[in-house]
Amino acid sequence: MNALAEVLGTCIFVFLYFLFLQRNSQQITAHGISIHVAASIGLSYFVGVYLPFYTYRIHIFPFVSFAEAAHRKKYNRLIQKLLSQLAGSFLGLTVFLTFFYEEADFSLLGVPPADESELTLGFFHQVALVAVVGLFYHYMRFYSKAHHAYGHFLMAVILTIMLYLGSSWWALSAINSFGLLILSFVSTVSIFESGVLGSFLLHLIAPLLGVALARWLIILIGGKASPSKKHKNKTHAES
Amino acid sequence: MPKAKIGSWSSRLIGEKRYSALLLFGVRERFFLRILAALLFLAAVFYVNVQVAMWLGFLVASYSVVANDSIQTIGTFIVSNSDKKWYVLWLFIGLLFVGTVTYSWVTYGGDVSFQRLANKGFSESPTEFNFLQIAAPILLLLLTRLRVPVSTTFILLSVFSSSASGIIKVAEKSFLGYVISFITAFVVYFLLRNVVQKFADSKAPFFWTVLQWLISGTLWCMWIMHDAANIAIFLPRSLGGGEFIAFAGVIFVGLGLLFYLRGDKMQKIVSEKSGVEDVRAATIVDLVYTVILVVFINISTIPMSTTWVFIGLLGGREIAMSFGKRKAQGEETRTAFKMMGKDVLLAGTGLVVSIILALLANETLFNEIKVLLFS
Repeated sequence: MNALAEVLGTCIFVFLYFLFLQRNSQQITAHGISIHVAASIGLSYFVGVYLPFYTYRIHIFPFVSFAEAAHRKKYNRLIQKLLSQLAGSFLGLTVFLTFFYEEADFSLLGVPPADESELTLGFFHQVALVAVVGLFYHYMRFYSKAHHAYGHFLMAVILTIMLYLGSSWWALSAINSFGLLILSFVSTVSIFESGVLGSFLLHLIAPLLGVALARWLIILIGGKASPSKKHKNKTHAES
Repeated sequence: MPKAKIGSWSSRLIGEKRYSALLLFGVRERFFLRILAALLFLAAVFYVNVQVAMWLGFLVASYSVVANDSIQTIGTFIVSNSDKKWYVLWLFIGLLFVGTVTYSWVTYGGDVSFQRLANKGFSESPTEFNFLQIAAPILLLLLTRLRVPVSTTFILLSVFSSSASGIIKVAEKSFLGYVISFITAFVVYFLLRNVVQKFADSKAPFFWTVLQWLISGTLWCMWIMHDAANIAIFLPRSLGGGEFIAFAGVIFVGLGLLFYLRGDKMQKIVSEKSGVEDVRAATIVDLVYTVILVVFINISTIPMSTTWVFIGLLGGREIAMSFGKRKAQGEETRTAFKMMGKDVLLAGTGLVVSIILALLANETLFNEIKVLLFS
């Protein structure tokens, strides 16, 4: 059931994500991400989480799954998560491309970072975005252990702020890397079109560094043991 | 019930009880949250299609505005007539609504907002929407469910406005409205407190029920004249016959739902105030509120939060009434101040949420504020 929720949640998120990007592509290419596009994608996260099954085990973002698996050392769940996210991304993208894709309006995937300073900025932003989202997700689950509308609202707000601060469209890929990856396979535009090294730095190395940073921060804040285990032990002891 | 981690940063920030209540809300309202998510999904898909978006925005706004805002006007009416059948109350209020908007539609050539949307930069029918403009009434639904008395004028009109000064003027007038209604209610109830307290000792003559229905009806009509614009903002400024029937019909049915639910969650704000279940006490509240609204309608055409006026009125009333209670007077007054503080805090939270939403939905406004703060 969790796998199905992950598929549907990711599908909804990826579909809405591309819908917003397409409808605002000209403005994003010219001026970066406006606050209302950032907020729209933040709300898409909420929609993706709440529409399928109302489960708190849903991740939607592959790098969040990486961060969680790395911290809990439960890599067996990672395969199920990533496969579900891939399937969900594919499904969401298929719906988008079939019913809503307008080629003339959708040219943003080919836009590269303008220069080295922009690439550096994007790199740090990707690291920060993944670290903050991974860290926040971890504590959201920990503190509101059961069903947490509150945590998901905060998550949507954090995403909005991070996306707005990131400003450029290419800095968005960390939260939707599978969607962009599949799009680059199925369409003529590719995220690797302009500079393989730059793309790898932005879309793979930086998010993985973000995962490592998130894990380090979790350990730094909560100690080496998994907070959920500590919480569990404490609850047992109290009872 | 979900376990709130005691001592967590979130619970320390907003308080243990509030934190637990929020978690509990997520569990109890899971079905409602899914409906919200579904509405947001529809808004995300259809906001570019103007025809679909305007009717979707209108549909959600019609229920959320009526549930959140009009409860100030029919709230005491519902409480003090809790012994009557819901459909009798619905037919009375619903038919008044249909009559009032029909008058505006006929008199002003298809305009149902009593020409409030003819000025203030809202005179043009919407030709395009962004996602957050359609999402605004959906978020209003959530705030209503959380019992936050947000100003619907503020949250819905400001996402369509194009200048910061307009919003500041609305906030100023709303604050003034709060202060004036607080003072007026305090003076009126301080003078009448002994009379009002004796209401509990006797049964109201039938004459009071007739008077209350008349005053509540008048107040309701005034609210429509003032706030129908908040719903009609999504629609063409001049409605055709079919569009008008859809407009009036949807709200008429929505009112039925509201009466069936006995006022939804927002009703608790009115119900917890002392003594309003008595028809005479409720009539006096409505009368004072009507007079204050008439004064403010004549002061200027700038929109204002009627919610703030109403909360000021209830605050002034509670404090004045507490002075009249002999037993443990200090405790009564402290409780009244606490209740007033809670209402102001909730209304303030609603105001902050409205401002944030307006800034998110309106890029021009956002840039204007950014320049103002950082230049």
